[in-house]
Amino acid sequence: MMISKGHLRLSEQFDRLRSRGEGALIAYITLGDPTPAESLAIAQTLIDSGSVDVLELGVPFSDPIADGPVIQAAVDRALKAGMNTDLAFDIAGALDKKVPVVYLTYYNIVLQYGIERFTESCRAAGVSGLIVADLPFEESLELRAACKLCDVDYIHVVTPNTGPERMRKILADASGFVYLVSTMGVTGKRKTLSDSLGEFIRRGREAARQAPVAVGFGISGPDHVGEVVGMGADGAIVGSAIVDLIRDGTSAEEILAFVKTLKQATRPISAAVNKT
Amino acid sequence: MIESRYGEYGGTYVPEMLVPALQDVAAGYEKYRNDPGFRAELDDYLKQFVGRPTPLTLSRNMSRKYGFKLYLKREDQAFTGAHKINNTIGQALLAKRMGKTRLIAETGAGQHGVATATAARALGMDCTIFMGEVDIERQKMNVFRMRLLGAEVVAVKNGTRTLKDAISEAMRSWVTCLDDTHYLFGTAYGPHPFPAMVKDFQSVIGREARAQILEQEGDLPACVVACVGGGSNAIGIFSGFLKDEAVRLVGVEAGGCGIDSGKHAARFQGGSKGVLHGSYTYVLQDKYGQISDTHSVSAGLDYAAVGPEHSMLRDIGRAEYSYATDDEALHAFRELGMVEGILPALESSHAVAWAIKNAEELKGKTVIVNLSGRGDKDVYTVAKHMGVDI
Ligand SMILES: Cc1ncc(COP(=O)(O)O)c(C=O)c1O
Repeated sequence: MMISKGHLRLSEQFDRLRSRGEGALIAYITLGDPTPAESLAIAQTLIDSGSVDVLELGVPFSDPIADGPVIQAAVDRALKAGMNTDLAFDIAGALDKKVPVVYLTYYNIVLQYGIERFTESCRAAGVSGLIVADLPFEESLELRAACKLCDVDYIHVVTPNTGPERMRKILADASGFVYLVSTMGVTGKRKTLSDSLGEFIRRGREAARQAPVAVGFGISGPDHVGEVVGMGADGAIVGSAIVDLIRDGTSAEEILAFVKTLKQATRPISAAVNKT
Repeated sequence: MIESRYGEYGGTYVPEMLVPALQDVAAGYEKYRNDPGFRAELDDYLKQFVGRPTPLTLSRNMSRKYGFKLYLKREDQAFTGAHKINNTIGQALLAKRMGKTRLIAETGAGQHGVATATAARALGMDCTIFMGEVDIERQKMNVFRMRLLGAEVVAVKNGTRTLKDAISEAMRSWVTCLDDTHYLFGTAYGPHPFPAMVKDFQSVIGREARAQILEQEGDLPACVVACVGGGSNAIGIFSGFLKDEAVRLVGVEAGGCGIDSGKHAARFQGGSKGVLHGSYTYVLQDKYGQISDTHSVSAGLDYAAVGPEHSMLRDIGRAEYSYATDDEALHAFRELGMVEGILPALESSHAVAWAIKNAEELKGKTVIVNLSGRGDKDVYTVAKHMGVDI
């Protein structure tokens, strides 16, 4: 049933977008929400939309301490619907991955599956990258090594309170892209972005050197996407705003219309308009 | 440097955002833990405010009835009614020296919440307590006590609405207020440096108990017993006897409705190695790593993971871990009240239950049970189980 043809590289996707002067739209959904089968269909719809540049799939963990109420509720729905790690690999494998797909999960999920078995399954299912929300740099050695062996990008997370020295240390090993957490808090929609975000993106870019940086947490709509790309980020990650639509049973057309507005905001239209 | 691992257990499995915060706490603790001024201030609070040392009481009637010499380490006599205050005063004094003005904490039984609210008031700090809705319902009296002490109590409505979710919510909240707020973790669990720091502040129990038994009995006990939730009262009393190889150390977990029922919180019976809330240790989980729902009649033992040092002590065979069921704990609660005139907390009743159950084996020996708290908070629960309306 696996129709994956070897995975797409994140670096190639970001290079392509850079050459077009675009930022990446990274869309997040929780696998299994509202059911495993429906989340597979939603994931494929997002890939096929042409608006999503990287698809981030949450592999549910019962106690997601970095997530706010919207994603917590999605995880609860998914687990109630019978979602599990085996199904996550089935879904990733079954997707026609025209864009790179990455996983976001928590360490206990990886640990119980087996670190090597998890990264090998990522390779087999065509998952290009892995984000582990509760695995800080110091504890990640084993998983990073396993990712390297399987050619899966281990995506590092840095936050506004990651000091300069620590950021350099973490990002010396950057691969795929770097996840910049926009604000001190958990995932969830926010009205405005933090005042110091521009400075943080600048710091992140510098420490990441050639690796692309993407900003997540609180990116709620096209305005925010435009803002972070305008501030120099290579990508914007939108999660809770999409999960909200799924919770409300929004039609595929409406979800597509929304991600289209998000994607448009990653293009340098405003710059072009200003010039004319 | 303070230990961050106990054998393979422990560690710091938290989102990046919490790492600098925990490094600050570790640095503060490292700076002050052996500071004579800090220790003198802590000792003074423990003596004058908490009422330490707590007695080591020979339980005469129980000893006569069961045929072994039972001593009770009376943490139920510590101010606010449980051992929790030893840790909250310690961490609150530390937080204050680190320039923090506010404390947040999780609570299950409400004892740690009350003890944190009390420490906050005593030291002039603000306080917010996170508590699961289910626990709020079963510990109404402690919730009101916290409010009477000026604490804000936040009802946690997600997940299983118990201690586990209260911890998650406290961690989520902490990252938004790191500048002025210390997260006062309530047990010898969680990410480094909490297991080491909480053990340090609870080790006063073991130091006192060892000196007291030597004075009163002229000899070390054969056995020291404590209930194990996250593991703070147990590691506190065990720490006094770890080097005394002949002293048998027994931790008692919550057996709930029995191990086979699946409704329990005995991590060493049905658990396996995993990560929850920052620590690698024994966890109740399914094969995919989803954390199991736990059950215990005592809210304070109703948690899916056990302190990492206990996992190591069990591996190396220095301590053994058993369990008592809800029914056995309820029986022990009534028994100690009727026989000795002491109503223990339902948590502590698990340790008492183990001693009663093993009376035959303990015959003629000297046993210390850590009576981690008093039972006043549990009278409603016990009445309900007895079918009595009060
Ligand atoms: C009286 C009492 N004993 C024991 C416990 C369990 O915690 P620990 O294992 O950290 O001592 C609690 C927790 O709320 C408690 O209130």
